[in-house]
Amino acid sequence: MLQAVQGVELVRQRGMIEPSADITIRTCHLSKSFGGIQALDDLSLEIPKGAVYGLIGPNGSGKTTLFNVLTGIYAPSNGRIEFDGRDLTSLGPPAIYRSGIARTFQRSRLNLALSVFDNVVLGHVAARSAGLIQGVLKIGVGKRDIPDAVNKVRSLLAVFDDGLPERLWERVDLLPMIDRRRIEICRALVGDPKVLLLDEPSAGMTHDETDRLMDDILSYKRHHPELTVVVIEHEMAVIEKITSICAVLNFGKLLAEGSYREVAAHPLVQEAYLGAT
Amino acid sequence: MLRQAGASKLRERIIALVIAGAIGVFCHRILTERSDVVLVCLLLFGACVLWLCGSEKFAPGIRRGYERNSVFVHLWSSIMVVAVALSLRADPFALHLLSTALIFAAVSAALNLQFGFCGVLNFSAAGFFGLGAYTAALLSPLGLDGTIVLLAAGVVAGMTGFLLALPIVRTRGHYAAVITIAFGIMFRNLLEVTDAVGGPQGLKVDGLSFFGYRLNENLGIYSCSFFFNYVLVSLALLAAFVFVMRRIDGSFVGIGFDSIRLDETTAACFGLDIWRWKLSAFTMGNAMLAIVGALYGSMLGYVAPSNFSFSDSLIFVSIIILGGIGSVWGGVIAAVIVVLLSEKLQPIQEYRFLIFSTLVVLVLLFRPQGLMRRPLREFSQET
Repeated sequence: MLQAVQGVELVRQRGMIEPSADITIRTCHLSKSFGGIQALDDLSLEIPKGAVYGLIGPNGSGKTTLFNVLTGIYAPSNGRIEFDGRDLTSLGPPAIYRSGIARTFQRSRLNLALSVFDNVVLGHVAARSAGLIQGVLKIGVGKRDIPDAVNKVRSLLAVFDDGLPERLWERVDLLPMIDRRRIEICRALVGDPKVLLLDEPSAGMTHDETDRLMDDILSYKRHHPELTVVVIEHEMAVIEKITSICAVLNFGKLLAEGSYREVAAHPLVQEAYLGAT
Repeated sequence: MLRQAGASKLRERIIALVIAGAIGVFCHRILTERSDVVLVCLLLFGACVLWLCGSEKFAPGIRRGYERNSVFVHLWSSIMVVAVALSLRADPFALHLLSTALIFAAVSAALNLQFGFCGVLNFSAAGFFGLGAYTAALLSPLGLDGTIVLLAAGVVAGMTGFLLALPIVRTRGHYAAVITIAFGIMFRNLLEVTDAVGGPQGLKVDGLSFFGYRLNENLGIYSCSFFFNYVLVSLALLAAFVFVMRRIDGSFVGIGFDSIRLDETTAACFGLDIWRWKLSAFTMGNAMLAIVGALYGSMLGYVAPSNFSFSDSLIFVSIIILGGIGSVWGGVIAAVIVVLLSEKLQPIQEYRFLIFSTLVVLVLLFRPQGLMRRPLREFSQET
């Protein structure tokens, strides 16, 4: 434990995280236990604004639990979450989403019986919750609700695939896995979040598909430099390619933090994760 | 190009006219037919046509035509109902049936808002329907205007539903359904033991009057039965409900409801306060139920606890399952079928519910989405 924290300090001292860098999400001594299992154990992370931040670690190391605590699905057993200086610890998922944190899920959670548009626009509905009644009555600002949303969803989908805007009214379960993953990411992006949490975006896809998806995410990111992306990945090539900083979790604790190369070279990480003896 | 589009629109409208006319003549025949053999043949014929229209082959075309000419279709089908009612003007029983069918159709719209859209099961629909009827009965000595009585019924049921919903939104799925079942049974028992509302005998309800126009007075002209008035008012309510439902379905609110029904966790993760949405759907649906309930009570002239039992709630729920969950027009058609079947099969008495249940089972077996499957949204014409 002591050694691990020292490891983190070591990486920090090398200047990977500048002390002056803007921090968007900060977790302070965050813990979450399920019965006797300590899924997150005194985890303190600082995620810099505008970074692509990787989360790696063996299965069961608490990565997805961290996402679930960050988005309010689970309340932390201990500790605090700060987002842009605001305390998020006691908020529920809807309030956290509205404050600007959006996510995708490890296992696709699209509404398969609905159309592509209905799925994506869900991320946009809450943003307009003030004018919902006008939307029903089609008065005032409500008149433009649907047409504006259609245009927005179309242009967002086009970032990821040229063919998708044409399939706006098709049921999602008729689409291949890669398109579903794109739709999930678009659903998380359509509300213009400040932080995007990606839970294993490469799961269930081929190498080439993953490559393309990552390129698309990076190209979206280039147009939105202020967006912070936190990505959980098992595919080390993905982490190496897209992240500027990554953190290694093990048994709910922070093992190391730094650039991929530094983290991968760290002896504790090699021992815990990459399988070196 | 434009001319071609105009011509195809005209063709679609003519087809809509013919279809609505045929449905009108068909319903008229069923309402007036006295011979059992002919009646059974008519019903079988209607069932076959319905089955075909809802099939994968024909439904998309019909739907597209309907969406393109929706205002026209609504207007024309309303005119058709009035025409059928006028032709039956001297037959109070047939008019009563027609009005009941329209009221049940409005009930199915309210239930579709709760269950079909938002996924809140309500097994006490008859309870809220009855709450409206009892409100009308209790208010009737005061001689208030009909609009105020209907609104009051809506407010009373909305508030009651709001209180009932507080435990419901904290539970999920089956548990919420059990709470509504308990309310439905409690409501009836409470009525039976409360002498202030007439106990088991129930209460008398004076007919509603709108702006000085009394619904229970026969029109002086054409030897028209006063039930004709009720057909008109229930048609107006149904039209209003269908309008509201279609507007909700075609807005962000409808998309939010769908998302909550299909996956609450995801909906919450995208910023929807689940309990608030469910509470709105439940409250609004109950208010709608009570408004038509008040009209129903006023039409019957009396209200009694036995009219609003748990089995009536089950019939209401089976109407929306039969029509297609979430399908507004499916609910309307199923309501007409249920009302006509249960009245027209009177001669075989206790077997009619057997036939009705068989019908529901058959539909669930061979077309689980109901007679008219609810279509996917498509806004491609709006941009």
